[in-house]
Amino acid sequence: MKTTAYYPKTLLEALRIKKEHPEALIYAGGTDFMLAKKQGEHLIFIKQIPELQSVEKSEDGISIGAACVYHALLDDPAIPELLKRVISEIAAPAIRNTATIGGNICNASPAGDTLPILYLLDAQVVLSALNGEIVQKRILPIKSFIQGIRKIDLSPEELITEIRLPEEALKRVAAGETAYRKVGARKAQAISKLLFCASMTAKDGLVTDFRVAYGSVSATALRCEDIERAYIGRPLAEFKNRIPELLGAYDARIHPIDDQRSTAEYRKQVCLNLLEDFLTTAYSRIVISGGLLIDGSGGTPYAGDILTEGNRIAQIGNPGAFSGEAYADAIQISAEGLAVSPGFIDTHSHSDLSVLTEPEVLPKLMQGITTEVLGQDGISMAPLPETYISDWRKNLAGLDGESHQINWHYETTENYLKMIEAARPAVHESYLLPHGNVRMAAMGLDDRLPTESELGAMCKITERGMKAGCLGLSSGLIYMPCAYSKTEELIELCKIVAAYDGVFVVHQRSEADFILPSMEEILGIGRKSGVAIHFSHFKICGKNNWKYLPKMLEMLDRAQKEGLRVSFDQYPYAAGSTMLGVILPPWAHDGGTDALVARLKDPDAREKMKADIETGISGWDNFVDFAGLDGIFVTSVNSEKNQFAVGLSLTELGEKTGKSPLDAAFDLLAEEENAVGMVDFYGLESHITEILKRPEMNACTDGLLSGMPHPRVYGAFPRILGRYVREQKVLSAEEAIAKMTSKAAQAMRLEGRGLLKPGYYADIVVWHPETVSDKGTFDQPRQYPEGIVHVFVEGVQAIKDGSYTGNRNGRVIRKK
Amino acid sequence: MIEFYLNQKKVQYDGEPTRRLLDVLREDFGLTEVKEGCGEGECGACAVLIDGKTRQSCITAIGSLEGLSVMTLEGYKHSEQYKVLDQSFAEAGAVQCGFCTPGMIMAAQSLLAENPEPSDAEIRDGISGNLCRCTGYNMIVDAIRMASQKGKGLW
Repeated sequence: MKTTAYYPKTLLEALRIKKEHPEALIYAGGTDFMLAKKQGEHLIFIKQIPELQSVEKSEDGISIGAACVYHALLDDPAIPELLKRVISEIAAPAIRNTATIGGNICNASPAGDTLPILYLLDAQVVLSALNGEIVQKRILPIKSFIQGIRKIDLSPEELITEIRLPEEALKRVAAGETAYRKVGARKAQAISKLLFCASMTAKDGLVTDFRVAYGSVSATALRCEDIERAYIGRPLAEFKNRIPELLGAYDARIHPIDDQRSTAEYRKQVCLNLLEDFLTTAYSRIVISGGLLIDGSGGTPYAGDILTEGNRIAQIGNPGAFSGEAYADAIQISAEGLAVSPGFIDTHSHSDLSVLTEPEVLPKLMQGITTEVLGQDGISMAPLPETYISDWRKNLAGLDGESHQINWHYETTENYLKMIEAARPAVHESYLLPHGNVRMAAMGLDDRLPTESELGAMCKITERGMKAGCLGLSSGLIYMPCAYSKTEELIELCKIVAAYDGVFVVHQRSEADFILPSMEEILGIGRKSGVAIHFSHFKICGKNNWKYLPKMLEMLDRAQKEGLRVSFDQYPYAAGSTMLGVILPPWAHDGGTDALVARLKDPDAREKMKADIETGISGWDNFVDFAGLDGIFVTSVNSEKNQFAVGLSLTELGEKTGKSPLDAAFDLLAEEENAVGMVDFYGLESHITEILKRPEMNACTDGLLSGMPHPRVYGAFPRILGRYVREQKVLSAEEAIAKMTSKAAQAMRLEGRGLLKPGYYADIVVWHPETVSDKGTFDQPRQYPEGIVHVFVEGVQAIKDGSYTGNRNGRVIRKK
Repeated sequence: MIEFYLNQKKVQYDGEPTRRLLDVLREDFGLTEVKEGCGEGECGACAVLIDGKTRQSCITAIGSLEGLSVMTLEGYKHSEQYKVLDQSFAEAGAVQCGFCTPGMIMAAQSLLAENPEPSDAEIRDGISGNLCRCTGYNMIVDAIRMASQKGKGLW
């Protein structure tokens, strides 16, 4: 028997053929058809019919053409995320390029991957047939359409043409917390042992929606709407109390079988475990009571209690407002005698590499920091072209450390951010696109200006970075290769950043002799590009330059009047920490680390470096000149053999090695291939307080985590609250907290963070105003602060009674 | 009778429409780079590109190809992209017995066409429908990453 194949071009044509030959077989993706080795006299191919391929969104919901291939649905913006998640775990790419959603439904396997989510979303199936010349539609809920194992309510003349997801269900599920789990023998190509899909929505302490659907545990997907109805509308507290009862109700309905893939016992237990886990963690509530709320706004502190629901702050009420029966489910945290504030935001952080290997980020978390901004100073992890990996790792090591544990072949910013996500950090991480990486990707590491086409390439990379979710662009105009750029280059890049409402965060060209022209350059970039300016670790270095401070502050005032958007961050110490390589004149770094090491070994070049350090170069910040050989300390080296140098000043390093201090420093840099960290003492205590009081100021750690770190890494935020608020009374607590939270959020344009306010993320710090203080010193910096009692990261407790709980609930914050 | 493109040439087929594409390619057209492994869509040895995307030819009916374009390794071999993949697979040691390799190459091409700079996780997902019983996959992942870097601009 030869099969006659039909290729209808329209739905009408297909229905005509089906009317004429009701026994005709239908071929969509064919993945089940071919396995079943179906044979028949008439065969209708339907994938080419446009009506069956479209996805449409309307106010009634979403309509999905029955012959839509999975892969196409993954790319379609109208498809809800939860459904995409389900689809992305189906089989493997080749099957997702072939199989259709209508096919999965018509196959009516108990293990059909899309079925539980479609049950959960109250999906309807549209069946079409010809009545005369009129297309007649029958619309059935999916649970009625599927009648049993491979049994569907489809008459011979009908075709399944559409799957409808009603708006009401979509809205309800999108508003709440959801869970999906496919349990199979392996990730890809597995026919599931069981499928679990659930959603729950709560509002004002009431459960407003609750849905659970299972697959592979009964003849059809299992959803028990009667159980759901019995629990919707109940107060959260009661709902949570009744979890054992609920599990019992599902236990009575789930009747799996033993087969080659699993056992009934395993299936049922895993079903109940997944449900219990979801019900327990969804909308978990926390009441923080009895504390003094310093809410980040800068307003007067007040006594109040906080209720969180899920990852947000639900309500703020009077003391005692959230007690009693109605809140019995909530975790009660007493903040009696303590202050309660939004989680601190560190706008200048260098955890870029270490977050991948030590995602707890404890030096930050223990200070109450819940959000970090990475990608600072124009040199960071991504983008990182393949050709420069080795060079760049050396260039980066002084700021961000070095690691052999990570895979350095990620190339793009998007991939790097995904790696952070995969590491599951304990605090939220956000990223600035580093100018140096952009420059390297477009034109390499040479000391020259970009050609027109190279500048065009840099603009494209910047645009891609902003699209990947960077908060803005960073530069470090004393670091290579950023230092090789001129103002015009930065203006062009900042125009793009401004178009995305991003911020330009900059370690300016000079923080010493040439600070005034340097600030002028940056303000000019803001003026010409329209970008918001944020100066990194604002300060003045070197006693010869202290006189410039009043003028610097005047410039800020003028910028403000002119309408420029200017902010800055500061760490509250009179010493800085960076890479020892900055003591060398810029030309020494030309061409990257290998070229630098060669110069350090060349006697003539060394003499010239010494001469430049002796006499200075116009426009270059000469660290040796303003901090002195006694004021610069080695804080980290890579090699075992040079560990002795850590903690020594350059003078002491010279004595210990029997060389001149500069020769000793040059040798160390050469041996360590530039990966040497340092601390330099440059300023005055009175400058710190003067800068601290400025309205543009917010706090940061500038935390370099490798080697022997600067004490600010472990204590910058508590230090402001202890030393400058409680002891010296330079700021009020509410002013200081605003500078650690809302001001930082504003400067970086972070949404939903920085305030204690209903609807904001539940990033919260509970701290002790009487004891809060930093503990680290320059000798022993690795000491956690005192007085940071509890820290919550999006409603999950990360620090409890001053100790880390092991909960890592941070996310990657991408700019939308 | 149906018409489709096979390795960029228009061809015709006039037989049983439910025959497996795999059999038609091997038996009627002599394209034996397409291998049969499991015969039920799970192992990827029979992968070909249909309209540029990787598909399993063992669970594709020949009749479903009307108007579409099929590429097997025999046709793909002449492309610039193949040269890069070929070299990378050799360099990374991604081939031992070679039985899975044609399918792996098809999956890699399909992935890179869609995502020229895939992360490691994305590469692993890209070849998750292709079994290899020799290499343990790491070298294949290395090879595809290497190809994505070497073949910049090709995909």
